[in-house]
Amino acid sequence: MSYQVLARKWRPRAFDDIVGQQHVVRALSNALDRDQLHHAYLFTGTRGVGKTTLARILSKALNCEQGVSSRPCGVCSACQEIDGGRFVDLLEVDAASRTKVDQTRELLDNVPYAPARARFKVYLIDEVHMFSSHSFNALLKTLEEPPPHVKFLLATTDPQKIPVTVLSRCLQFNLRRLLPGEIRDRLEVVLKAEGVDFDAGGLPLLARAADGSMRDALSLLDQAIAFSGGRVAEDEVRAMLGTVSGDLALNILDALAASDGGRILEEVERVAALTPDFPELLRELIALMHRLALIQQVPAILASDDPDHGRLAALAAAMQPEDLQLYYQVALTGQADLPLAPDPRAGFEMVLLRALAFRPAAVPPGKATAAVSPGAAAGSPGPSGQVASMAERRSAGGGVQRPAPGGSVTPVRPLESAAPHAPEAKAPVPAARMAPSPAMLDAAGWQQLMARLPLGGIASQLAHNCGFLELAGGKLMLTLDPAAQHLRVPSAESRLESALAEALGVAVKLEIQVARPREETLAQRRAREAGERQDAAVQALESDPVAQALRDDFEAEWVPGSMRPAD
Amino acid sequence: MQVRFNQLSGHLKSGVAPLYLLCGDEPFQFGEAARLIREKGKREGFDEREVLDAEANFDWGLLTAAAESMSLFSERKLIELRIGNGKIGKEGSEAICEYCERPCSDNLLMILAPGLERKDLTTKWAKRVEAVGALLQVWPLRERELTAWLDQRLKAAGFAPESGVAAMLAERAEGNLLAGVQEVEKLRLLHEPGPLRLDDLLGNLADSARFDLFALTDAAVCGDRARAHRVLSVLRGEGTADVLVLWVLAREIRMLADAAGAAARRASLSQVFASHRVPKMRQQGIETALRRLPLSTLRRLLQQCAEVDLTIKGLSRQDPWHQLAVIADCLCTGAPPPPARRGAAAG
Repeated sequence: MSYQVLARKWRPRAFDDIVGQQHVVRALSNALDRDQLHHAYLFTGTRGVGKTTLARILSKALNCEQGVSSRPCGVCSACQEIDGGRFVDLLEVDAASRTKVDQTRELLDNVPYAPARARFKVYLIDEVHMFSSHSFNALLKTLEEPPPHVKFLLATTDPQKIPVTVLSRCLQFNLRRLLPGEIRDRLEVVLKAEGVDFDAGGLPLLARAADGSMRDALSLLDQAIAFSGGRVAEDEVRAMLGTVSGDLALNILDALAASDGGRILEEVERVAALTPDFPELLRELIALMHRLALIQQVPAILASDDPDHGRLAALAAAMQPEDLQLYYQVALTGQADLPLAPDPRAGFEMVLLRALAFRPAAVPPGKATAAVSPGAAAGSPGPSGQVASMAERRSAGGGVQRPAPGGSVTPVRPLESAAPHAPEAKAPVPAARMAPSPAMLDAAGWQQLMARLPLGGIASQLAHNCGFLELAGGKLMLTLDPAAQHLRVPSAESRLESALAEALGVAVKLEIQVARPREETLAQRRAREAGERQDAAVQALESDPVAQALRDDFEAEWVPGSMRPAD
Repeated sequence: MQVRFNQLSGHLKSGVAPLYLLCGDEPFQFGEAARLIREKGKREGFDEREVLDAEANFDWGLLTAAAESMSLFSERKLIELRIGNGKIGKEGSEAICEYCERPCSDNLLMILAPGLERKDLTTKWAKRVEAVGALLQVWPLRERELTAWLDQRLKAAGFAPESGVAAMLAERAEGNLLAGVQEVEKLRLLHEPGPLRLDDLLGNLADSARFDLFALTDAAVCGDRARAHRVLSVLRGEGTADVLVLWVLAREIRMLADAAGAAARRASLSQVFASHRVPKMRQQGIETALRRLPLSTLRRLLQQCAEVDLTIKGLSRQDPWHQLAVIADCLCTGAPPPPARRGAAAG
């Protein structure tokens, strides 16, 4: 017997054999068993999901000599002839090649006549969306008043193109695309029945390449068996399918994970030979990294039957989450730049190299310690301080940190080695930031202190208008500007006293004399500075050439009091 | 005379008018009305049926010829005149007016003109038809009418629907009567007549892709990241349109945002649930979800939905499925979504 391709040999012949369309099969089986038959059915779905197959089985079920049921016997002459495609009362029409209305009329002219042998005359119209509008009108006329002995089974990949008047006369079933898992299981059944040797790893690849279509899957299986010489081996399948784009992205990510610039460029070189759509490839890379990040957090997301299970799991384990985040961010931002690059490949390469460049370089732990220690020993807030603070920020935020500009600092990668040194490096704090000791307090120190005291309202005004006299024996002598005498309120004084006690760390007793302060008070200084700024502003405006020209040409004048310093 | 769709059965009991003009934009009622008239005509002895398709360059002489030629096989004849685009021109107008002058009792004329506009109904020929025969206009049903209608339809199919079943069906049919009827037909095939529970509907709404669409929001609201991701990949694998996935996510987020807003105002959630028709059994889960989803996050997610919409419409070169996955994941975790990338949208 001549060889029959698997897709035809393994075309389902009973409802039970159909994979993945349980919702339709159940509804149809019930319709047959309960005698709730519609006169027209419309099956929609992409190629190779079982539209025509389902229609054939349905016509068998309708015409089986054992009676109408959901289980056609498969052995009577009607069933046999339908399987063989030579049953007189099953009229299979390919609408794509018979779009003209005359051909449709010719076909439908026979509708009134009773079936030759069977119970029902079944019209199976494939690709029905290819009908012209006249053809649809002719069909509609019949559909609106169908004789009881006629059943219409319409199949199409594109239900949108069918007029709503026709749609409303049919019971519509949407066949879904098959999931890779379903296809793989079916392929396994077929291979076992055929007695063909196979690797478990090869089938998911075929299932994925079939892209939801069982017919494509079986055709690919045929090819794979021929390609590998009578068996299905994973490597051979890979070679046959060629490197699919998913693999390319994985290869690149592998190289990125190894932070091997040479390998990245090699991979890009290999990709470029396939003249891919680089923006698309970048999107794929981004989606892949998103998936990896999810897998790192929720391992259950990685399905065990994923064709790339092993590689994804390995990558998720090998990559640092923060590196992954960095690469993702760089790639995401790179998307916007890609159209600006002189050619897409250069842009793509730059995105990948940028990801590597921004990745903090790995420094051996010993060296990292060395980099920190000298600074810490010297006690100065030098580079070591920066290193430590970077390490701190990294460990605190856990996020991505771009290296500090300037390049004097080697970013430290192993956080663990840097972190213990952080407190050491933090210890020396600039003297200016230190709390002033009471002994060091002088007139200038007093003003600095006043500016920082957490005071408000009258107490703050009071402090600002006091000049420092002396501090001795827990007594703080201050002079208050006579002009600001009204600020001397007991409550304000006590608030100032307690604020000072907190700032200085020792209790002080305030003694305020009303006298002209020897040195200018903070309030006076601020007033003076404000005046100076005002003078400078007036000066600047007066000498401004544009203002000058305006005044000369238009006799413009300043609105009195409108000039203010810009701060 | 004017006849409404729901009056048609009653009208036909008292006999047929010599001609009918059917118009309106709702295909299911339109088809049903035509079917009822056709069946009634058959019972009245209009056995022969002649269909004329009045498209561009239609020879209007055919109408006159059809009206004046005697039927060969039966005494009375039904003439169906289909006007595809609603434009019949001067000739057509004259031909119809002429027919109206001398309607023959052996002929029943049914004019099917779904695309007729309001101003076409004021034309001379339409007025003539209305005077001699009957005008039947069909309108899309409003939400509440649709629910009542589906409920009736379910009962006619032998079901005793639980409260909420018809509403759920109406919601998922999205106002499409035809889709609703098809669902009822499929339910009739999948279930025995008798009580119909909400669960039957949820598990078996015959189009299983639709079912999974709602499984996505269920998983997202429950915070089950692995399941949400799985559902999304199944949807993608089955070839579900990305707009549908976006629609169901955006609808859910809008509802959540409304609920979060109400919670922030310390208003009662039941009103929000009522206005969004959230079934009782989902409400508890949503209240739990609101604890991890602040209003600001939900607003950001809505903006993300707008971005995905742009992508799907081709205005941004990103992968819509990836963006959808990010949104679903944010719903699960309550983490704020990454900032919108205007720059990428321009690319």
